[in-house]
Amino acid sequence: MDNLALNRQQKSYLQLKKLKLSIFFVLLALATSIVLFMKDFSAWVLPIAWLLLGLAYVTLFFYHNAAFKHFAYGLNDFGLSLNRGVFWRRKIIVPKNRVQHTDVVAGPLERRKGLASLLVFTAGTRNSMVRLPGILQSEAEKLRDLLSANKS
Amino acid sequence: MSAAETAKTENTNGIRLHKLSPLFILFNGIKQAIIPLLLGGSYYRMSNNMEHFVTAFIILGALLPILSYWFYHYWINTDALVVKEGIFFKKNRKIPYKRIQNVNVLQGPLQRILKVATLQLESASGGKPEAVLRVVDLTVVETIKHKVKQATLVANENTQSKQTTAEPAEPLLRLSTNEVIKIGVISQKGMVIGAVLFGFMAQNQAFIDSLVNYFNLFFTLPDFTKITLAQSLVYISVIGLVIFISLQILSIIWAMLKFFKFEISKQSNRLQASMGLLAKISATIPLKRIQLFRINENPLHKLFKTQSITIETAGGVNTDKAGIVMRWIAPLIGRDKTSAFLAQVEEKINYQEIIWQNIPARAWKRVIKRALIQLVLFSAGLITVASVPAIEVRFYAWIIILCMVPLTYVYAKNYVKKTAYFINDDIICFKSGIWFGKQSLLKISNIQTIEIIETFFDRRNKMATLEIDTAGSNPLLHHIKIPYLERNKAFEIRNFLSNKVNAMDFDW
Repeated sequence: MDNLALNRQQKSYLQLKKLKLSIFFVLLALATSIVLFMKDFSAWVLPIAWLLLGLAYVTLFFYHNAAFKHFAYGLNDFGLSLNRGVFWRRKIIVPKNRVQHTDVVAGPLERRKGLASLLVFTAGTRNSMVRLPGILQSEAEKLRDLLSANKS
Repeated sequence: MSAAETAKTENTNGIRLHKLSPLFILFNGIKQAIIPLLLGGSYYRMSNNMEHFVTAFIILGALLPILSYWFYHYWINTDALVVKEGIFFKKNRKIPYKRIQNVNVLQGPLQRILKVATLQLESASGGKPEAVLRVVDLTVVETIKHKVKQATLVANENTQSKQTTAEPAEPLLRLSTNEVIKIGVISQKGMVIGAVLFGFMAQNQAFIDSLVNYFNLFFTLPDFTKITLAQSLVYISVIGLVIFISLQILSIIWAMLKFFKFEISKQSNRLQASMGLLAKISATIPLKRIQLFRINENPLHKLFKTQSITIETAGGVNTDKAGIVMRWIAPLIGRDKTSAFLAQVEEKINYQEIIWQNIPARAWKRVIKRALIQLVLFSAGLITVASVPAIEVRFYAWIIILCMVPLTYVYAKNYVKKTAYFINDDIICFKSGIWFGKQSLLKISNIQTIEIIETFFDRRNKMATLEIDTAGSNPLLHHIKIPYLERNKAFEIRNFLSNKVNAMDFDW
């Protein structure tokens, strides 16, 4: 009934996201430490800052896991369907003949893993762009061709 | 365009805008920058160091309109309007007449005296208008209008053999002055204006002082701290009455300015609307571009047995900031006439045959829970505030909160009663709102994406929200977003709609 979307994102995408997250937090921790060192600080400020950052890191780490778990997509008779969201689970359907155009984009890190994002544009407002990240480049291109082939 | 004409475009200098154009460009600039200017002005008074900056700003502001007038040229060719503009970055745009969807004409009071108008041309692309001719002569307006009409007539004849074109149709709706006054009273827009004015004046001690002085000319104001109960009652009722009446007058003025002589008529494939007292607006709305119909019914509407109808279009007509806002197709219409009116605008919408289907009755439990949680959160906030030693929360604040508890029950029951939807083969409708009833009517062929949203609470209750996205939709306004549906039902509706949408092409 509702399990239209079946395909998952690539595992490597999740790893990439976690890598980006880790890099970001390492940089953030460094920056915080430097700033706190420059100002005069009490001895307990730095550990607390690190603890808070650590907590945020762990939360986001698990959030990424959950987001990955709940993300699914598929192309079917209705069009492109996409499930996403951790707290608010959204199941979007973009009917095939409402697709205005599609884009396949890949950043430098994604390219190294052979990943890409498919952007589907509609004439809508809130969902004028539906993003399908973390799929293989070939898969993205296949989907793009299928979605645009339908347009007569 | 023939070769000879292309040559003409390149060689001739084209037509300039009306000579008074810089004036109106300046006015428009001032209108758009009024808030920063006011803020800047008050700041200017405070510090004199800004002097040079402000002077430069004013000179530039006065010079720019003249420059942009100087560099603005247009050509009325046989099949296209060519516009060349820009001081540093030249823009040369050719707009074929048959691609022009809307010809909007705006005439302010001064423009009317001088017999000029702002002309705004829009294509189907939506977004920004293709060209804005800020102040041209009325004859130019007529010429361009005629050219566009001719071009669309030719296009129509090619596609649909013989349609009775441009019949001078009987207007779909025409508002008398009485009705416009009624709009003012119903809208209570004066409240908004009054609140802004009051807020502004209350901040301004000098103004209050001069007001008190002014009153003292006529009668002595009493010392309000030393009056008897009877006296205070008299004062309160008199002041209340004065405020009430002035709010009504403000509302009526607002409505008169906006909707005076409102008239809307249908011409083959478009709506033609005109309205306004000082600034007169006339706009065309291609029927195809209407995405969503919205019917509003506030408590005063109910009292007068009326409604108002607004539309959402795919870009253009109601998105551009500098452009003309045209989203009212019926600012006031008798409840019994809505059905016939809508049928004439969009034949697929059979308003009379809508059988509203309520959201499941058990949803009231979720509504009441949500309301109670909000109440608890609010009380928690109040307790936090009260814990500050300097602030004392009076006991009746708590009593009011306690009284709200049974009211949440009434609210929840009413919420379920007033929230309903309807779906048939052509349209999907949704209505909600306990006091301010709003209904959104949408042709299924205008659906862009369909979304099902499940929150944590939805999942626990096996419920879901169905939301539909359309072109040109304003996310802040009422749209099709049906909450608290049974989960199965939501998916059933989604699948039904998806199938339908896939069978219909989106026609711009």
